[in-house]
Amino acid sequence: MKSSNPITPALAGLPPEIAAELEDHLLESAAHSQSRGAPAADAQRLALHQLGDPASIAHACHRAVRCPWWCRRGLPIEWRALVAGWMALGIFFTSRVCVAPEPSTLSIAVCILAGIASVALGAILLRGRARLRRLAVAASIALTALGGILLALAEIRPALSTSFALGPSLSFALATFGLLSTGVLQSRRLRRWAS
Amino acid sequence: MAQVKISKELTAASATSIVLGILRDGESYGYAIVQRVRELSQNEVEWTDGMLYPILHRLEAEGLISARWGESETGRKRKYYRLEPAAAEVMEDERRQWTTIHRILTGLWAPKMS
Repeated sequence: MKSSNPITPALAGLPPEIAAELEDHLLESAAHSQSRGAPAADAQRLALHQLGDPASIAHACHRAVRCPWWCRRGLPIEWRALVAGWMALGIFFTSRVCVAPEPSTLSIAVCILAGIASVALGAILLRGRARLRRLAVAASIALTALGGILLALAEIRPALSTSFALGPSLSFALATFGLLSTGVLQSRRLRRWAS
Repeated sequence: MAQVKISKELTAASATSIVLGILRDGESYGYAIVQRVRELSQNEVEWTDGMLYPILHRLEAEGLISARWGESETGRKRKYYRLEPAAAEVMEDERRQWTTIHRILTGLWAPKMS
């Protein structure tokens, strides 16, 4: 009588990647038992017993990766601060639309775009990919330049800064955040982490 | 000397350090990691095979290890894990913590001079 394979049905319905990983484990474990003289079916049953319930393992794997950014231990603290900073900046930019007394269409569009771009950068940095450091450096330099331009414009065309609800102090704050962000990203620790 | 069985709680607490320590020796995969734990602990640490995978997936999500799909020697799909540079700091932190605990307990349990 042909012996039934208990591994395939045990993995049915699991996400394909986890199923493939567990299948490899089970087959290698079974092969190990077979090399010690166990019959194939017994070896596979033993492998399943030693592994535990595949559905529970898949569920535990799923839960394990739902780790919010603040619990990702691999991210340096400066990197997490940057994520929080850029996210907050996005909210700040977007809020300008509501705060400006008479916002022009251009200022609304610019504020929303800048807000989305900042939140998007924060979200990208959340992935913790060290190679994104250069992108973040470029964004930080661009923000510093933007803050500087707005600061200059506040002097030359005060009406424009009113439209964006970005007075000299806020423009200065933006430029300072950009500089700080650049400085942190260029710090020796983050450079070493990213290398 | 009687064999010591490590409690479930201690096994769970040390699992991350053990997995990272094993991967420090080079790229590896699930079954091989479990076998290495058994070999190192001489079966004193009771690891169920299944407890490894949530740990590996969490470490991967945390950016401490990365994974790639490759092939086993028999041509089967196999997921290999390796350490990421970010793991060095975490491993050093874990090492300090375990060393401190070891020092405290060694001091407490040292034979008293009377």
